[in-house]
Amino acid sequence: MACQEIMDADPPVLLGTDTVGKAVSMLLEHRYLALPVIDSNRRYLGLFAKSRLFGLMLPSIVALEDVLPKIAQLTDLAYLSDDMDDLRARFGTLRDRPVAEFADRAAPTLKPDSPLMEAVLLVYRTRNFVPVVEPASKRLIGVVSTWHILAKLEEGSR
Amino acid sequence: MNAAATTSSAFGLPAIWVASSLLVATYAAVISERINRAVIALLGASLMIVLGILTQEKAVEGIDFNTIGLLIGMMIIVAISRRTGMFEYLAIRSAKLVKANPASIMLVLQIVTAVVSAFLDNVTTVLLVVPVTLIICDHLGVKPYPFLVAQVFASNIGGTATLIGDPPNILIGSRVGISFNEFVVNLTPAIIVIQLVACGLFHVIWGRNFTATMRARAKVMAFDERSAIVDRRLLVKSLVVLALVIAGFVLARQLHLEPATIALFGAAALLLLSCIGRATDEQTKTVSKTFEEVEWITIFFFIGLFIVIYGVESTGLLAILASKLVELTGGDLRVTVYAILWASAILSSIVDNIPFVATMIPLVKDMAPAFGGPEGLMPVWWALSLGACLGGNGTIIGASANLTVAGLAERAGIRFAFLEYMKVAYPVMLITVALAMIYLELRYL
Repeated sequence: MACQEIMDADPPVLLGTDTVGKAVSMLLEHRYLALPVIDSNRRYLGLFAKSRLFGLMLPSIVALEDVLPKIAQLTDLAYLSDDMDDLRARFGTLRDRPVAEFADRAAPTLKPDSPLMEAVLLVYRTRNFVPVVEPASKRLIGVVSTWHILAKLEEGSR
Repeated sequence: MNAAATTSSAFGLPAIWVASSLLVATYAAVISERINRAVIALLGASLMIVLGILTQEKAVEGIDFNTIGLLIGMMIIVAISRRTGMFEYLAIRSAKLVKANPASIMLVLQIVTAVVSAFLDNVTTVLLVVPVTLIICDHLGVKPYPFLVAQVFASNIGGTATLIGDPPNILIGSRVGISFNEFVVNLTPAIIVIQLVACGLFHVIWGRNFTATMRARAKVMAFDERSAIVDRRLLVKSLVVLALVIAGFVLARQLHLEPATIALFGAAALLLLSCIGRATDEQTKTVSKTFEEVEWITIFFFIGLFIVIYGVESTGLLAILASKLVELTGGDLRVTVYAILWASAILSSIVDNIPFVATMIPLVKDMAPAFGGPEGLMPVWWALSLGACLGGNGTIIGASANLTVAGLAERAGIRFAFLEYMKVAYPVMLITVALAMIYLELRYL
């Protein structure tokens, strides 16, 4: 089975010019943890994930943890005195910026003919959601998420 | 040592030419920064053996275990102790001590960085201090760039104070047999003065113009440094081991122990203390996580470099260069000390000071007869240490700590441009080297 058989071919998407504010509304509306970002030709630009959003609300050095040497990673932030107003203020500075600025271009993607087990592995590794991109045109043709795989599993066992 | 001076390499070429070509090629490749420096050093080392300059047994003889063991031991101790949150505690406590005044924070963080750097490797120090500095600057609403530059300087200056603070000192101490205490007695007084002058200069250049709102300062004052300590039991264990290791360095001569043994013993003891009471698989995870934090690139760079330089040394090239240098300075100690100090500083501001110092050590050693034996050379060693360590501050590429901070800053969206840095850093670096020269003149010449 190839992943195009289990993917959602019409997922909610963000245009690169959409604002972070709109992205948050869509994440809340669909209860998704990530949304693919595309341009006006449906070419895939990257993934806007809630982890990125939370990273933007943390001090910048924390959001860089993935690329920092282990020794530079902060042990905890329990000593910070920031409250919800501070987070809102930080989020307020981002609300009107285009999502293209924050789209994760390095997030893993699948091809339409990627085998099922590759999709399961990537969903397992990302704990979430993997865009399916046509390699030649770079166009987004769907997404595979935990929910799509679980739905197929349930379908088959009924 | 010089037995190979007249021998030929695998291709019948004079060994001296092959070895010196390999050294130059290794240097050039390291400077170009196109390929990872550990790869280059290991390649150069392998070629020294493959081309017949050294046998494998001779190459292993050239690796200074004291340097390697000391670096690995200290890296393990830091990897464990940083998990307690002690370095975040230290930075926040210091910021609150000066009532979150930005100019004063820049000052105290320089002192904290310099003191920590005297006992830990410079790169490790900046990696521990810079993240929390960025958080403090973020909350104060001040630009972090001046803080980062001042901390780069403090890490390089503070590291010069002791045998274990900076790789050039580790190299000099180990290869020449200079003790921890001798470094402290001879270099720390100069370093205290130089660091205080640097603090003053950075205050005049940047600190006096800092402003932060009372609300922003209140935010920093509301930081709870006690919450930064995430593992109190491990903190106590780490502090005890760190104290014992430093005591061990101080008493090394009386204990008849080398610094590497002391550091590795401390690392093993702290690993044991952090594993006790845990299940076997959890112990494996802890040990594996700790070993991952050892900077293996630095370790393999040193191993490769030691072999390359030993290869060159074995051909007698460095002895020839040493006698030329003595000829050039007329055998005058003052001229030699000044020449070594300034040449080290200027060169270290543009090339990595580790290969430079590693090459200079056998060269300077060979100059001993001209100055009445090893005792007479001591001012030259201090000049080499001061020049190589302080000179690294001059440009972004002058020292590993500078490159590390620049990389961190760029990733955090803080511009850290070569020329912009150099415009401030180079003159300040020259002033610090001039102060070192005055110190050497007054104390030794």
